[in-house]
Amino acid sequence: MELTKETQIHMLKRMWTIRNFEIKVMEVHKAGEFVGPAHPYIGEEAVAVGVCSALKDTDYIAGNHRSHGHPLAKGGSIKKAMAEIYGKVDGYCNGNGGSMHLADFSVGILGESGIVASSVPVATGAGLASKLRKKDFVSVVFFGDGASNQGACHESMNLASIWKLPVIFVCENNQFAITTSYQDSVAVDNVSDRAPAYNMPGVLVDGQNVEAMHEATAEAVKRARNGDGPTLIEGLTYRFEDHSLGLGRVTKGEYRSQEEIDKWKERDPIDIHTKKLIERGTLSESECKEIENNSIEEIEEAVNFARNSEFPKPENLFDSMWANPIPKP
Amino acid sequence: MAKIGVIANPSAGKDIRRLVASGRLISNQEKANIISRFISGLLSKGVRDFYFMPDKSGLCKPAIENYRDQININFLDTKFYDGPEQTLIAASLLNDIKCDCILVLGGDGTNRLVAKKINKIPLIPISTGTNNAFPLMIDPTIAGIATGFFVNLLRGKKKYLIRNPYISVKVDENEKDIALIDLAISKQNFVGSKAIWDPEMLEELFLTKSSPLSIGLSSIGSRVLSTNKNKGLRIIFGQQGKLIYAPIAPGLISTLKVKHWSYMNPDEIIKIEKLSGTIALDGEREIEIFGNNKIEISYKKSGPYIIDIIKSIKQDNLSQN
Ligand SMILES: Cc1ncc(C[n+]2csc(CCOP(=O)(O)OP(=O)(O)O)c2C)c(N)n1
Ligand SMILES: [Mg+2]
Repeated sequence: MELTKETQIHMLKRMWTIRNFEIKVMEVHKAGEFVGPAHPYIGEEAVAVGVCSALKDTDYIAGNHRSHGHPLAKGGSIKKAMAEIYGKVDGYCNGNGGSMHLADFSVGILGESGIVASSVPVATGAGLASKLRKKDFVSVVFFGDGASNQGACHESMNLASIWKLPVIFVCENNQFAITTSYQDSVAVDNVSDRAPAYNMPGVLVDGQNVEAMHEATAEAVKRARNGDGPTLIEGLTYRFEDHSLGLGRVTKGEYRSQEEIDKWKERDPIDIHTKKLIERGTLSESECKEIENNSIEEIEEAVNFARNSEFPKPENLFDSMWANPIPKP
Repeated sequence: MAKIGVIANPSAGKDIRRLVASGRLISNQEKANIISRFISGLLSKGVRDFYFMPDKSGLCKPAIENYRDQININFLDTKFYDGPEQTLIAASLLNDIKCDCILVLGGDGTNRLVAKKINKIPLIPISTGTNNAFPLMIDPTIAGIATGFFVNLLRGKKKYLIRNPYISVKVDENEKDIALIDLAISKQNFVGSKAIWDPEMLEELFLTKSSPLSIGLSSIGSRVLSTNKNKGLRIIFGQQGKLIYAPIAPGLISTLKVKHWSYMNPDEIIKIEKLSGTIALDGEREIEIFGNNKIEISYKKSGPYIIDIIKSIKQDNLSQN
């Protein structure tokens, strides 16, 4: 497989969108413009972007609590995502969901959930739908190292394997579940080591390398579309920021050292990719800078869109509770 | 007292070849078990000083727990590094303390990294990787006994060492890297997940050895030419070529068209220009190259030593009679 220039540039753009989106979210959260938790994805952008750039719009993804990056990588609307985080009516769930609920079926985003590991069976169900309806879409779920220990995760992988479902399980091993190191909570050394127990291939990939994530996903997609069943991909990555905004008591130094954080920041996924594009002559330094600047502008527009949108009205709270009309089975 | 280094790569044997080929998975429990068995062999020969590369997975832990009171445990200070960088740092630290030999757990790729930093320190490479043309398929207990016998009585005796050749590559006159078994030039324009498995992408291949029993790119060599201990092999692929098939990854038997093949004499410099893509070292894409790069490839005889486990163990057996 070769990587086209378009794909290489697209990946840089999407990573900058996510990075600057998250920087902005942190800034406006600090300024008190919205309330509630939000989990920054900074440092892990190459996982979402590498995976989603190997998918079609008709393929599905599902995320978790740390899921601003996944829908943006899949091509979701930046404005609607920001408005949802602000809790405004123009947001993805009319402002009823917030940071952990950015769903957009039109580009294959099934949604996210704050219940750790709960999206894993959801995406597995989408895989079952693909198989039962004889469609060729694949379904991808992003979950953490912490989530990988949940029953729902094991059950889904087992089911997906015995039914040979077109599901790709993407474990974003950012090495911590809040403050617990995966070394202390995952009984094997790599989450991907568990794959043989589900009788599926498991691959350990450098999660800071967007092209490596893309390539592994492209191969897993081929396998899934071919009817050969699921794959478990572990992207080894690192969360550069705190677990969640507004959790002042969980500070950096208590469970990981500054040296460790600094070491990982040297492996910034955007820097790694930018350096490659310049070396190859795909883009010049100033063209890369332009991509960064454009994304800042784009995010600024999204924030203004969110600020100018209204809060939902209390009387509309139950409007989106049920599908309307309720579809026949 | 003999000092024994241990470098075990916790990520060996986990890459994309589990997905695109049928690469085996050696669990880290098994890697830890291999270290324990190796140490038991050495202990039976009274060797006690060990220098471990620390790793987050704790591959050395079981060995240390089993033999806590019997061995002297030292950890190399590799700071916050992990991955390939950590292996390189650990190898140069072992070189600095002049350790007597190094157990390396990994595949061809891990051994390549260690070989870059250790001068003449002999290796005991035990296979836990995917393509394993360099490491030995041997029980670590026996390797431990043989190594113990070697460091006690045979140290410095050339007869019990095997010197391996290597391939060096320069890009635009800068020493760039080495390969222990195979160097391939691939059309693939990015490093990505590193492994090589698509035969259509291969442009050229350089080998230090090829046995009919090898798996991986080196398997191609013995299918066109009988190997010569003192020479490397060069193979060029192309549309109008001889059709052969070879197991280029575990469970993956590919058809290839070989246009040209020849031996490489030691130190002969082969110049390559106008190719773009990637250079793969021991099965892993590592270096991106462009049409304007000048590549120089040569076969060298003065590569890493490994302990001749079979000769050493035979000598040990004789010494007991
Ligand atoms: C079922 C459940 N248990 C506990 C929590 C509290 N919680 C929120 S995030 C989190 C850690 C998740 O870690 P991981 O899966 O590694 O994802 P990461 O935050 O590292 O991206 C926990 C325990 C929850 N939301 N849901
Ligand atoms: Mg985590």
